[in-house]
Amino acid sequence: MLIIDRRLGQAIVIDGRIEVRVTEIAGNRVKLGIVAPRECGVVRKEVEQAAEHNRAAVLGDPGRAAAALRALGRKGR
Amino acid sequence: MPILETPYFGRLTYDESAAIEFAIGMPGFEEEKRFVIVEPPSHAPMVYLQSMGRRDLCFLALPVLAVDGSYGLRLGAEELKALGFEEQPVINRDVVCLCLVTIPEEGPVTVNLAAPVVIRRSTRKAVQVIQGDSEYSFRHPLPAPVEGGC
Repeated sequence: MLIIDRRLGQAIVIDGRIEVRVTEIAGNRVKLGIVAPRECGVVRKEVEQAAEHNRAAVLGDPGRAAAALRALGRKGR
Repeated sequence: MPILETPYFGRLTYDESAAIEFAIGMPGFEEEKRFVIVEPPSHAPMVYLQSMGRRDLCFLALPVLAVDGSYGLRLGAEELKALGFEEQPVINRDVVCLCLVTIPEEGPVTVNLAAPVVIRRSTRKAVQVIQGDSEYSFRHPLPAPVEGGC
């Protein structure tokens, strides 16, 4: 991981087109201002993680879900 | 009563009171706002979240308190606003709080305690609350069998 030391108000530029600026520091929280082209999706890491886990949680084959339910001590469909 | 055709439940007849609407779509499923909560008694305390728009989209969920009786729910400002709360809601009194269950091909069944689905009881509006800076895991192993419920 690349680690860069920045002070309040300073920024970094990624790929010549994405700017990330430190706009506020309070205790252990940092506010970042991001300027990026519209096609660049910007989300908090945990939102991306939530999306990934949500996709994994979709019930697939009903038979498999029923087997897992039985394994959990519940009567499956 | 409305009827929904689903792969899981066949012809599902549901009461409007079982319908919920996400004020903010769940990450990964932003377009699917309306779901029905299906509670087969033989599966209690497990419930299903069946999408009304996408028949093949269904989640299994557990009340968080059935997994962790001292679960601490904390909504962010945007989530509070989405549900119309001015202060932190109390689980069961104000909101239903469900965690999604993941059944992997292999390995233990896990529940997502880091991002519970929170439903305001009075309005049936829902948000998935992402407790990013909490101690809770997206993959909390579920001890089997599940007993009791809340």
